[in-house]
Amino acid sequence: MAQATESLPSTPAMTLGTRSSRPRGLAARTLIRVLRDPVGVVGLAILAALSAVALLAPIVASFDPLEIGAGTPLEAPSRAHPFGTDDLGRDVYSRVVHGGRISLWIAVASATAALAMAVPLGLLAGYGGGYVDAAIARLFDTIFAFPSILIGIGFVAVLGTSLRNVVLAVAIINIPTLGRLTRVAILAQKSEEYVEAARSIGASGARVAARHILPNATPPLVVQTALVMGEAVLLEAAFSFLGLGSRPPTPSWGVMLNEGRNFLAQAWWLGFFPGVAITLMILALNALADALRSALNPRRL
Amino acid sequence: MLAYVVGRLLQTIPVLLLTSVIVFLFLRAVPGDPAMVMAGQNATPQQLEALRKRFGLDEPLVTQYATWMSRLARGDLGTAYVTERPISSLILQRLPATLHLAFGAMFVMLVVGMPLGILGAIRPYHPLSQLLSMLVAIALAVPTFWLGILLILVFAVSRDWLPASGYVSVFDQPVEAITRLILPSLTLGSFGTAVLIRFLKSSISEAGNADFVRTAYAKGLRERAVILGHVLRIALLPVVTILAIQFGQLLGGAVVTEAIFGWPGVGRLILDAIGNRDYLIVQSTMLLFVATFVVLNILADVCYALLDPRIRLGR
Repeated sequence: MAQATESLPSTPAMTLGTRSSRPRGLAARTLIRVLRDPVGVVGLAILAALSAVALLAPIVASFDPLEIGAGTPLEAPSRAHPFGTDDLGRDVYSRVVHGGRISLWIAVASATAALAMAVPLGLLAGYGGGYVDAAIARLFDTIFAFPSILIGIGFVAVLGTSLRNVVLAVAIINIPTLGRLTRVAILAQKSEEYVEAARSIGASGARVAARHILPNATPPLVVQTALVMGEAVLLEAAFSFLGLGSRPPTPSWGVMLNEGRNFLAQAWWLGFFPGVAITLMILALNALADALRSALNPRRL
Repeated sequence: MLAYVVGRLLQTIPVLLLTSVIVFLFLRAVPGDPAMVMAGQNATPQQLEALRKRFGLDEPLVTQYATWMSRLARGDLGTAYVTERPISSLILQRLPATLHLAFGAMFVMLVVGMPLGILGAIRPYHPLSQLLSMLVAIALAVPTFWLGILLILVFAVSRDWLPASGYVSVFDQPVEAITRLILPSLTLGSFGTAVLIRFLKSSISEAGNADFVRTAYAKGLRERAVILGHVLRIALLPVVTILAIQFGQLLGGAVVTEAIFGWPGVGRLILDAIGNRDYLIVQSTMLLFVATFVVLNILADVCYALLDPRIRLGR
């Protein structure tokens, strides 16, 4: 495969914390390709806008998201309250803006936690082979067999409802995909000459795996990480909607939709704007993943 | 062929065993004393002791697990803590509603997803095809529960066209049951439909580039004959697997959909059980869902092997 040309000793590393002597190579070229792809531009633009709004929430929001009586209850969208007010008179726009912080945080934390658990397992499976590989493969199969929402439900049932548990659940759900991607990359690279070269100058197994082989698993992992972040946003909203994640009065998008559900007949805006926000964020992350996938496609390198 | 099926079945044994251990440990991993959590703060020591005896919580973990497994082998899932009813009968009572929903969603996936996916793949540059791609991207991003809310807003709140909640069995009142199924099935089926369309587009266009397709054109076959006789025959095979995986995910998605539409199914049973801290129900229902998923996957693989000789002969 053409990917092998990318995997010569001076392997260009991307995000995973391993730095090589020439960090600009693949990462810079990938970014340029993503920016030339309309799908990538749209994804990045939406994501940048949502992140900026979330990070600057205290400035962008016109009211305190928890302030009861910022307007009269169930006020329709107007200039003062662009997304209307909820049953307690809280400003829905300000709540949506602050909700972005929770979703963004969940996305980053879950992806990090998922990578931290899946990549070592994948490395171990690919490098260890034999029984180790078989055992880890069955573990992946088992996790994969749980419908993803159920893992989360089981988790919070046992450990209690909290954002940390949602992050853990999302991370665990994504172990099989990320772990398998890592494992496959290791298997493909294990017998390459540069690995042998690294071993022959005395590098330890762990060092070879982490510094020389892992960077070659990076492209598929980067794509999958974007998808994991989208799934994290989705699941946090779903859990909060079911009352298993964030709790009222936290302005989480899922919580807002759950609260708005009871007022659909009087106030459509309560069930509308938080959903638009969730959809936009997931859409942007999926688009980014698509653009990254075609930018990192080995056939194009 | 038999060897293939047996091999596949053997592979699932560790998965199911591991699942049972994980699911079993769920109940034991509750921080603090499970009996205390179940009985509440004000329980007397006698009550706690009785609870521990009843659920065998005073026995060593290995014994507890062995007891649970041997009961399972006899089809006994245990007794619900709150309602004091056998869990198997609780599940059986809720199962029809969930199956209605799952089959409704599968119906949406097949009836909407298959034709659109095939048409989109055959005419990739048609404007409608590009519109379809955009719709698919949106459908993949819209959360199930929000779609449910939107559908209720449009079809039940602002227009009184379709009911927003309630379940009736098809076997009792077929027409009423189907009108009540429309919104929940669309809600639950939209994500899977998008996955299917996306998958069909890539698998059909990939098969379209194969050598045997060029050969078919070269020998003078018309496009229709090539697509129906050669491309689709290959490209539609993996759909079996996609459907099996999606069905498993549907069972999970049903939890959310049932919550929105007030649907008295297994998903509601799980949510209520979590609310009541009735862990035995959660444990048993999860095992049931996972087992269903695993069995469906074997069935899919077997279908696949029957349809495609390359697989059962090991390529």
